[in-house]
Amino acid sequence: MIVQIPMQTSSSSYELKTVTLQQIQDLRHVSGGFAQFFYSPGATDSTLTGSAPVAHFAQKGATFYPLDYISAQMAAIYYHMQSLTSFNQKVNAADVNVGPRVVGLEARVFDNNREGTNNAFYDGSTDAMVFEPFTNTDLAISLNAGIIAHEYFHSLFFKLVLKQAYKNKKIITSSASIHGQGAIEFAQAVTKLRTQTEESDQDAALLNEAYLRGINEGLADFWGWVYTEDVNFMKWSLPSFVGPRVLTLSESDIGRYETKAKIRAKIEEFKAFSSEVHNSIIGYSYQIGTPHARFLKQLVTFEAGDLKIPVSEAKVKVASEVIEFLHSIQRKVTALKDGESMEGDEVFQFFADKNADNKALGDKTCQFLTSYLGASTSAQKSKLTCAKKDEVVKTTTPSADQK
Amino acid sequence: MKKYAGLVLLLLSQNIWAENILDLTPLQLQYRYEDSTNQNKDYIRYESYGVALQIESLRLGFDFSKQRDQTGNESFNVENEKKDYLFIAGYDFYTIQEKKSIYRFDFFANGIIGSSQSKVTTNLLNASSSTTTDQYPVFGLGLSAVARIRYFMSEVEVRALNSKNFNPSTVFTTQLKLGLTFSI
Repeated sequence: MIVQIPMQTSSSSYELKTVTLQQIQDLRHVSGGFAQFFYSPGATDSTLTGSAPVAHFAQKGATFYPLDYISAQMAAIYYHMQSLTSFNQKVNAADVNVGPRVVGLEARVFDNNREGTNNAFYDGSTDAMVFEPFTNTDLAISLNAGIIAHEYFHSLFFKLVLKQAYKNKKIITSSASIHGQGAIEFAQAVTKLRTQTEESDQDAALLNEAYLRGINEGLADFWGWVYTEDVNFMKWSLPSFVGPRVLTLSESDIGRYETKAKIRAKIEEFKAFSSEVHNSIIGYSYQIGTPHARFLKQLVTFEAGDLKIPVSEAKVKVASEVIEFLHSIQRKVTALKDGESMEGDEVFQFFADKNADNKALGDKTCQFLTSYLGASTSAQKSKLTCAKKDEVVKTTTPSADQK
Repeated sequence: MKKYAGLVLLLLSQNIWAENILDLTPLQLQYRYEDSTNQNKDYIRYESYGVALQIESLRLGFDFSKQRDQTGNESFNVENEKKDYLFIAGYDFYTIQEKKSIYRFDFFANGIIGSSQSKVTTNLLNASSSTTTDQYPVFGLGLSAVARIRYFMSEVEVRALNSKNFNPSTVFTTQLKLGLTFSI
């Protein structure tokens, strides 16, 4: 089925393009192999409930034109789900999201008796991407390719990292949204887990929560950039949130991020001055996340240069490594003992180690990677060191010959 | 003033119904029960105009209907203008008309055929793209009652119409028409 939708064609433009929607089984509800929609849905513990929105199209030749706003959103989201599923295959995550993605449109979500608007989030318990009503005059979130990719990443993070952690009661948070306001929490589950957690362990739990929330948001922003090549993809829909989340890394920001010590201090501050520590952490998580997104984006640029490959290829390479990282962080989270917390530099550590054996690694890239290790004790743990220009000294475990 | 009133009374008092009658119906109130842009079914108002010629028991008519809606916001919105061109063939199966009466009532069973077309204009961040879609055939059945009082007529019609360009494909319409009628 060929359909016209708004597509991001560059970092500075959206245009109407015709695309092919595959595996469509029911055009009236735009349902098929890649997406299934619910309109203003309810939810049980495990699924969205309610009816599907009805889409209206007019046909000219082989092309279908959405006749209204909702139909355009449905067609656009279906296409992005299809493309992101295809991208999953390239980055070895094909088996993470199986079957059509469940999508809720015009979802009425209440937080403290206030109805949420202009937000989107991934809800792990129902495995659904949920879009609240969009009331601004900007491009709707549901048409914003970068934000859709961002939310899609949350589903990967949930399934590869958080799901197991919840099962093992290692963390106490769940959903993640495009911005902090109106994010849904599963209050009952959180309360239950908190009461089960010893007071002395709560600091570690809060730190883990902040860190995991942070990298979830940061890596999701990276996914948004990978999908759109727009360092500022939020500007189309949420210009007021843009400033701190632009993914351009300035020279002075290289190596700067929220270290474990900073996160811990911030949590202490929240505990001292905020009655809603958890909500404060939600807002803070983006501050933790953005340096990670900028780091990965810059790494793509460096790797494209080092390996003499197109940026598109480097994006796939780094994104594949992000998926590997998710597997590794899941193991680490699962192995956490009570009262034990994350180091806060796991992403940087992972990519430094990943490149320790990379013979093509340029000196600039190496310096870039190690600059993120200097802020913590990880510098001593890293297998990667940089010698002189264009030469990388590996400090891997000595081989039998060397011994 | 009295002169004009007298003329109107004179005209209205004459019974000159001929076998053939021409109806012009520029004032129409048409509602279709169909999918709205708010994800529910609603009575959607259409703008329509028509003309009909009755030759003895057969009545042939033409209706033009259009409806326009716009959804979205300033950055992205979709305008949909739908136009229908319908030919109506009606059989006058019952007439109430007394001798020398200035009024008559006719009841028709109608068959409808025509076409429907949409013009979709999509506005995205100040750029606009417009497409006129394929013409889709329309088929329908209807019943109508026509009341004529000298030069004035009114008609109430219900229809079931089917077209791929409708949402859903079969819609029910109710129409009130007001116009002028002429014996020819």
